Amino acid sequence: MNEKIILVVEDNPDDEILMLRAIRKNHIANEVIIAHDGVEALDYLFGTGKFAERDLSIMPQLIILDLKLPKISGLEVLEKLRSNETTKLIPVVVLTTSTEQQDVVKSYNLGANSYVQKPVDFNEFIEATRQLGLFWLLMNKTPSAL
Amino acid sequence: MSARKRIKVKNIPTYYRKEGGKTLILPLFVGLIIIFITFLFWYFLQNIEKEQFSKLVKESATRIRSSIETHTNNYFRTLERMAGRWSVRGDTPREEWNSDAKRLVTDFDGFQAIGWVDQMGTIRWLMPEGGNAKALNFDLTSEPNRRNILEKAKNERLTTSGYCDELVDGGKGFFALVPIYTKDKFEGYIIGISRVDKFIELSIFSNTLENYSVAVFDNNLELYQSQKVDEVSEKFKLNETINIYGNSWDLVIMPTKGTLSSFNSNADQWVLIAGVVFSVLSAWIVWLIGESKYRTRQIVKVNAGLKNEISERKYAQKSLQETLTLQNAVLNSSNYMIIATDPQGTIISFNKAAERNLGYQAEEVIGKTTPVILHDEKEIAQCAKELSAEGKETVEPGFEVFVHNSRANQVEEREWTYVRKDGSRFPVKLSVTTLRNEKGEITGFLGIGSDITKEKSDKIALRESEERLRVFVKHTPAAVAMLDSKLRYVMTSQRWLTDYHLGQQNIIGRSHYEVFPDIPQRWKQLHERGLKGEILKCEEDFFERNDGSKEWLRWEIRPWLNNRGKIGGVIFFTEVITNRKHIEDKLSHFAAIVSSSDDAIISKNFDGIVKTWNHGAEIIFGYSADEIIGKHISVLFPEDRLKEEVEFIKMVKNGKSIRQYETVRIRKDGKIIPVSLTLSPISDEKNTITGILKIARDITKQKKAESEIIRLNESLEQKISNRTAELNAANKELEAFSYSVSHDLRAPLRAMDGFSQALIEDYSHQFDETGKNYLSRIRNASHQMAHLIDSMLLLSRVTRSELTKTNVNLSEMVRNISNRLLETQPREDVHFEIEENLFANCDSRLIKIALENLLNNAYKFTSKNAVTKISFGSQQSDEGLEFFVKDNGAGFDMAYIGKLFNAFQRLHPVSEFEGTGIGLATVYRVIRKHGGKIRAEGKVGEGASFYFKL
Repeated sequence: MNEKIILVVEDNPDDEILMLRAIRKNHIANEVIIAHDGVEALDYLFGTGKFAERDLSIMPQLIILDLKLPKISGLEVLEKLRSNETTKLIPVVVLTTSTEQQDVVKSYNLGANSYVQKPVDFNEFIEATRQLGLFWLLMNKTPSAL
Repeated sequence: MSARKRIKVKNIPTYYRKEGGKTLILPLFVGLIIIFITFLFWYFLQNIEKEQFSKLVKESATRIRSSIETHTNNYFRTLERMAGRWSVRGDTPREEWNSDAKRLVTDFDGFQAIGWVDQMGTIRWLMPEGGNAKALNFDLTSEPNRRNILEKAKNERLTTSGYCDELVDGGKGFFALVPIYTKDKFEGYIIGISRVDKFIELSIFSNTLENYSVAVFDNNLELYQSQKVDEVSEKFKLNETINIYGNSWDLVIMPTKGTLSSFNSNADQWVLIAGVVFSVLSAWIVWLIGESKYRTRQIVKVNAGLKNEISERKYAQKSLQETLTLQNAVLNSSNYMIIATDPQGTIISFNKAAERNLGYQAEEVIGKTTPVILHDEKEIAQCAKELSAEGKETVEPGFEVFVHNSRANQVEEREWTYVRKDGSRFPVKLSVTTLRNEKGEITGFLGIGSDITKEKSDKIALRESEERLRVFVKHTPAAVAMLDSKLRYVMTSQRWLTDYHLGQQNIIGRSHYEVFPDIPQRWKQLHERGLKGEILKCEEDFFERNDGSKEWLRWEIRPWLNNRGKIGGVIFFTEVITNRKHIEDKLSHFAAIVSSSDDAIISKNFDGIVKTWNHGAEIIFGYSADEIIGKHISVLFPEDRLKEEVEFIKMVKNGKSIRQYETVRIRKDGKIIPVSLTLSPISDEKNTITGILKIARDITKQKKAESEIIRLNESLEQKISNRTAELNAANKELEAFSYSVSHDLRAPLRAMDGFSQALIEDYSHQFDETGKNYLSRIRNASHQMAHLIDSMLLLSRVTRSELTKTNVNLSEMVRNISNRLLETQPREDVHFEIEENLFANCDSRLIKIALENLLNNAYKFTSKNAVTKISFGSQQSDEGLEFFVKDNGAGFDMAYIGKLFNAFQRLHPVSEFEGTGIGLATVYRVIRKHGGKIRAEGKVGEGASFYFKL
């Protein structure tokens, strides 16, 4: 299980802490990598910038992606990710505050596997995290090509 | 002489009739009076008999009543005594009672049976038992009427009677109940049962039943009816009331016809017959007396008449001689031709005037010929034919034609042509009289003829002159009418009839005011003046008909004089000038229009010479009318436009018009002005085109305005596109704003909630209850704000989104929303009533938001109800199908209805019902976006209803 990494792309430090706490609360033991903006996320995934030294054979099992990010937005990240052979099959769950229809539609069009709204209620947030974690980490088999 | 005699003959029957009338009246009068008295007497006699008989019947009725009552009393008293013995003895053994009862039944003939009824109302003992077995153990209370009697007897401790309509042996019966009380203890009843018929027949004397029909009723129920021995007389029917213990019966008796006739004495009838005979005899005697008196008087009168006659005859003979002499003198001095004949037609008298006129001497014709020789043969034949056609007999041509009518006492006067001895002819009027003797036999004929040559020619001349006048007046080409002094038409011209639309009706002899009922009063006054001799005329006058149409007239009234030199009436000469007047009015109207028009109105002939020039033309072109009329129109044309004129003339000559042709012309001052031209042909009355009418309008200002409009339109379009761009930018900004609101405002809230939760979970041991409470308040506030943000976003999204209409099943949508409400916020006793299959053409996403809000509200505001009822349905309103959501919740005050649909307006405090105040504003926007309408009704504590129409 340890090599199954969860990449959380989240710029808000409050949300970051709450996310980590939610994952912990749900007894998900996977390693969690945090990227604080779109650039950082892409650097991690493609081994560029400050992740130039990274072993690219290890890819995250699940990406939890916020949409509203500094520098490069979540949707751009998703687009790049899906257009690259190495990353195009990684399950991406968009977790965002926005309920705008256009965001939902765009996310799915760009190949998001799921779209979850960040609830204000923390309990609901934990529940949402638990469900996406369980589903994508346990139920979904990553294609063997990876 | 004969005339006087006839008067006498007439007198006698008059006298006879008068006297004869008197002799009949008196006897009739006497006879009638005696008959009248007889009838009066007969009538009184009859009445007295009737009264006495009624009295007799009444007495019989009273006797029957009292004997029934006495008999009943005896019977009841027997039973009472028996009950009395029971009370005194106490505990009466059956055997003792039996012998007591048996004795009574034997002694008293009227009893059918005697019995003891126990306290419960059942017949227990009965004597005699034989034949009454059915009645034993019979429960008397089984019938309500009898039950009442039992109760009454028991409670009032009184003997009471009743009837039972079915006895064992089939007859009608009655019974008496005596309650038994032993020292105030009730021990049942003694009952006595009787057959009514037997009972009554025992009560009354049998000869009564022979003379009367007797019937007894209890409340219309027939208890008894005696056998009918004879026909009865309904006229003397009598009712009596029989009172028996606690009951009353109606007794009805009617005497038989036999009873009635044995009473009648027949004296009245004898009186009647004697009276009638006596009256006839009296009348006859009176008549005989009158008749003998009349005969005596008659003989006296006739004798006196005879005496008179004898003296008169003597006088007549003398005067006859005188008359004959006088007659001859008269005959010969007369200007009339007088010819007398004997009955066969031979002339016996031919006077001087006849000799003079006809050229024959009296000697030539008297005794020798008939008047036929004086006549035209053809006329005689013609007349014979006419007479034959008129009457039944055939009249042969000859003398008979002159006297045929006269012989039958008819007036015979005819025009003939006399032929003189020399063959010349002249017209005569001939009247023929038949001469008769005293016996009425014809003794001859008298013909009196007068020469009517002059009369005839006068008449013909008059007729011709009248005809000429009539034709002259009739065909006078003017409306002329001659009226008499009462304004009745004497003569009119044909034109009068046509001018006043009188058609072919004959108005001669009718009053002017009858023919024209709507003649104004002022004209009637003029007629009066005309009749007084004034000659009146007027060139232009009008009158209004009753139908409101106005007629214009030129008229003249002249009186005319009759042959006595007096005013015989008036003559009207009139001319209806309504049409001319209309044309004049129209012309002056047109002239006013032309002169006041701002447009130039010009007429010219085909050579281009100006004929008329109005004020508008003076102003537009600068030339005065005097200057330009008679000049050529080309002075107005710039050189390059001269060819236009050629084209115009060609078109107008072909009858075409040119409309609003825009071109330029030169003013007198040389300035070129834009004009709009309209040209049309001018035609004379024969529709020949004789010239051109030209209307020119100065369009300088119009042109200027047009170019200004074009310029303004251009700048307006520019402005619109600028605005649109601005608006689009603003919209983009707004979208960006709501996007960041949705995203960024939530993050801090989540942090507040999340970390408060973390504090509660991880550090709860360090917080006391107050601290934990504060933390939960922070969480609640953040939830509230999140909800607020969501609602605002929804509202703004509704505003921005485009409509995509489909046919949506609203019923199904409401069902889904209500199911979800019941799942997520379960409550007890919630009833959703949803009308099935309501569809609407609308945007399903938006309408879902609206219905969710309405149903959430309904669910929320009923949360404090014990029973919740929420209904969704539809109804027809003035504006079409209307949907509604109704609840029985907290409702609202209609005073705040104006605030209901405004954003952030709430009618309930959050502490009572949660909410953002955005829900109904969102619903309102959704409905308005569909072009629909929404309204609400509510009452505090009684629920709210929302009606919307899409």
